[in-house]
Amino acid sequence: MISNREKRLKRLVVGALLALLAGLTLLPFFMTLIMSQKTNGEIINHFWALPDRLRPEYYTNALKFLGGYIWNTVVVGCATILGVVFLSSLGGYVFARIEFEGKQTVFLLILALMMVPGILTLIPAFMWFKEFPLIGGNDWLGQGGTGFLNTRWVLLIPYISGGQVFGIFLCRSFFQRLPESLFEAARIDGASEFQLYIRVAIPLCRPILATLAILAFVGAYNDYVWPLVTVSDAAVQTFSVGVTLFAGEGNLEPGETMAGYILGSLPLIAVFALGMKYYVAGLTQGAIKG
Amino acid sequence: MNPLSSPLLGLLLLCSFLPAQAVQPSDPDIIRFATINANYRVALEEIIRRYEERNPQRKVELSIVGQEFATWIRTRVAAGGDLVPDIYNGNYTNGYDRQGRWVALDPYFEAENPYTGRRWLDGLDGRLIERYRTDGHTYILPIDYIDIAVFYNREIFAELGLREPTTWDEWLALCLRVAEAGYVPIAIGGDADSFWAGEMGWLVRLLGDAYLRNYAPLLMSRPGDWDYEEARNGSYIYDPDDLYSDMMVVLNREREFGAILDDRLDFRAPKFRRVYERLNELAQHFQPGFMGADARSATQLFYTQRAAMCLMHSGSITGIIHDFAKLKAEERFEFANFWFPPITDDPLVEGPFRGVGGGGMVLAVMQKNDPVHERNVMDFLHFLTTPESGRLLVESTLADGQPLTGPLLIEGVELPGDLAEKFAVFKGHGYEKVNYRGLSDEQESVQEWVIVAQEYMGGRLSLDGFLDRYDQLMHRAAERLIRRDNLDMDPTTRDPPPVLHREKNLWNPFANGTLMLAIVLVLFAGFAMVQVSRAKGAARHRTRTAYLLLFPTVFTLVAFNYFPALSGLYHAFTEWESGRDPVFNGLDNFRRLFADDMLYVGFGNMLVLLVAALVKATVVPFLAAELILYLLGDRMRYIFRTAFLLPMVVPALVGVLIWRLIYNPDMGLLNQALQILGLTGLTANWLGDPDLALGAIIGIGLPWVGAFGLLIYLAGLMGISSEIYDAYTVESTHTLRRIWHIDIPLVMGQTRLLVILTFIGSVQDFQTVLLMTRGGPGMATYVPALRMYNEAFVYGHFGYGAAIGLLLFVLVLAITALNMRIFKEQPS
Repeated sequence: MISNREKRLKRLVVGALLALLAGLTLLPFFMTLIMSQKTNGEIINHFWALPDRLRPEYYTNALKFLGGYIWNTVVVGCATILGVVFLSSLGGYVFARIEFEGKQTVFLLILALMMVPGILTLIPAFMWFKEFPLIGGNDWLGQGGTGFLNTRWVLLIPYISGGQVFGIFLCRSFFQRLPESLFEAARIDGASEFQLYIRVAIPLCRPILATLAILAFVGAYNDYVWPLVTVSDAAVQTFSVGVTLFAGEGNLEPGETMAGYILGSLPLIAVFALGMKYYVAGLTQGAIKG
Repeated sequence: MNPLSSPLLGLLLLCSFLPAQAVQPSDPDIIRFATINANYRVALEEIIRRYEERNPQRKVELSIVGQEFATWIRTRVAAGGDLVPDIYNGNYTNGYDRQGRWVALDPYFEAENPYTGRRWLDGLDGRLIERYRTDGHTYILPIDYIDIAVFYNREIFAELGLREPTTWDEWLALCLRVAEAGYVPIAIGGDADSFWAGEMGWLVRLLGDAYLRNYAPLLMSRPGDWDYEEARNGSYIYDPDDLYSDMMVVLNREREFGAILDDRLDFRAPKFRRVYERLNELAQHFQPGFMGADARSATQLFYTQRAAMCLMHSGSITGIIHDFAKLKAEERFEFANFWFPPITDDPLVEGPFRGVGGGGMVLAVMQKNDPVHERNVMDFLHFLTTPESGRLLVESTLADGQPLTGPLLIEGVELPGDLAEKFAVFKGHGYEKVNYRGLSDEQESVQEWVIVAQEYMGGRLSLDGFLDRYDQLMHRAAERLIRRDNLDMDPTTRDPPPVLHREKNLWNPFANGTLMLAIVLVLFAGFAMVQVSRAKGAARHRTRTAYLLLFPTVFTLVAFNYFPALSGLYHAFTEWESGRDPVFNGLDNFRRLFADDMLYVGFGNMLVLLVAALVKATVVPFLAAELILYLLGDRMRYIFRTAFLLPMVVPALVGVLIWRLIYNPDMGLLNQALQILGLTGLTANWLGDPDLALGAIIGIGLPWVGAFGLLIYLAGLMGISSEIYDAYTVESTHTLRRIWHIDIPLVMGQTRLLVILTFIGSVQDFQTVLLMTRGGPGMATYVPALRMYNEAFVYGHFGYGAAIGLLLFVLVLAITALNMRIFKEQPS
């Protein structure tokens, strides 16, 4: 029998180890927060010291520059959530709950998309979004106008379209685990498949949808290269591109840049605060087993 | 209820919101102006406001593009049409002058500027504009001047009794004195960007011109050459003492490339050897690990008075003044600058150092073959270069707290007194003529030069090895440029520029998305109908419903994911140079690919990064999950879980930028922490040392407890039923054995998922390396995906870039399939 004391000691060691890991994980972000209030001179000459006074103006300056970009990203992110959640759950439902001919083939064709390097499609995708017929002044051959470029659609459409692939994969594993009896009863009542999807499947899978929503939002929020090349209008541009502009703006106070980093994190903090419970549940209820 | 009505309705709704801007004839003419010079934003906006006020029938659309300006331009030029900017920083797309893509400005220079009533050129810096001549025309309008000089701390110089050196040797001796006193003699940015476009690259040009300016007679046009101009070359006699004597001389590219190919211009020659010996000689006095420092961190060393001197460009002057205003009085110091002291004791040197600077913001005008529009664009440029606008550029920029790149090249614009004095150092040194930091500023050769130069200065290449590689890359560059520009290598004939006209082939489904979409949807409908007809009874109804419900997914995927992917794969078999027609060339790209040394080195690095990424994604989160579960009490578990999830709220790009700062040698968290812990010996230049850089890239995110992996493992481990444990505990209570025998096998599914996702992600990832090191120093962190990005967007070889993309795709596909098989064979 191992003594209780030894057990407690072990736990203490494990706790300390975890605390160290957590501390190391969080230290850079903590330092960023501190640096966002220090002047250039303070950072260089007194790296570890606290700022000698608070400088809210760093945040207001950063907000003045980045506020629009952050707002744009939030708008696109929220719209992406709606699209991805709808298409993924519908697709996942079909692949998980309906037995039909040719299912494996179609599913594999969809999954194969996850392996195409994004950069390979960058130029063709750019040209296609510019030459999309009948959009943005284009004629039916896709000539003459600017297509989707410089609009929110050029971000939204590929985020939804591409985001659904992993989403379908996730939802499928989740739906597969629901007991068939839940659906059987409704089927006997004469419900159509779409009704089954809306009335039975959706209410049961809120956690996975919340997980998906977070993943979709984070994905849209973090993208950099695509908005960089497709959007040049600051009224549409997103945070990732905005923040590199801000940092490179000959902006001479690193503190303001840091303040911009923190401000840019706020929407993600909000999304996680709202959805963390579901997100953790979605990933921890074993929805993902590969 | 029809199962399809809702998604269809949604799509219709979606379509009704789509932007449709019909072009009205009365619409104002839009002049698109794209620039990377964000410091001028406020001033340019004001100038544009005033311009539009005077010319209400025109609109100027200003786009300030930050990093990756070349990518931004190239995608637009590749797509063609209206979005191509009219005015932009031309130096980012080399070669466009000779391809007839730009408007020749000389006729306009000679004509009157309506806003001043004088000849346009009279209001500009004619001498500098001369430097931008290509094949007898000028395509570039420089707005401001930028150059480098040596800045020094007057107080340190006074303390050590030092004076501005008058010769190179004096300078080196002075550096030794400074080092003995415990200061860093010279701070300089030396990362890939600094070699490419910053102080380091300019230093090399400076040395190059001092040794190589006597090459001009070999390379210049002779009587009978198509670009020979009596007025420019006829009276030219090489005179090393006249700093401006070769300024007007026209060099002939066919003579130049010919000289490279037949080794009359030999990059292994003693003069070139001496340039790089001198460079290394001076580099002994740079701060340790300068190759990881960007210009900003070099400046920090200077600010904190740890470095006595700093190589800085003219734009830093306003920066220092601005920053000093915020320092405490005792932290400020007096600074001054001096020009590079001449090398005097070397028979190979031709003369004193000449200026290497040029326009900071240099504008080119895109040729759109629309005379009315072109006149409007020119009219705006006229307005931009009036003294009124020039003064606005200076005053608004300074008032906005932004740096001023250098003196403006617009006549009648004076700088405020103290600034004028600090900027005086850049005047009167002449201009360099010949430099071989890459060939003709072609991006591919410049970047290759950056790589070998960094390998040499990092001690990975001997001087001989470096000169060999240098010579080879210049040969390749000459061959490439001859091909690109259709040169027949006969200097007496002018060679027509290659035809660029882009005629869209509407019948090629890989180039026409509408056609591809139609084809694939018909195929899919056919496939669905066959499946439906094969099914019997209730299955038939189910199959039909399934395909109907999948329609929105299939439609969006085909339209927006499959078409670009297929188009990309198709173009891997074409030669597709930036802005030209893709031409099918079979397996040529792949032949080139298998002979591409840089790709092989990249794969080596990728393998290391990949293995590390797999460990980071699986082992570390798994151990963390085990540790968390070892703790009793939901509260503790919750607290730790949340702590590890927190980094997810930081945008990915910000995460990388923060880590770049952490590795900063001077103001970075890592070195500062090591110093606090008394481990000063371990401090290093993490991104600048070729031996450490790859490790530093791996270190990003330390301690690597990834939130996604942690959650998945926690779920998996908590899902293991207690009966299994109970059965096992009877036999043994040893935790490690339990983990080995039960936990690891039972979370195999989770591990597989993480492995596949990590694999796919890290083979494709180049963004991290791009933002951290650009693949440097040298080749230390180069990866194939970055090669693809560079080929496609920096060099403009879309076809070859697509071929690399195809290779990576096949690799990912193969390994993923293998992966699935291996894991499946494991009994779970």
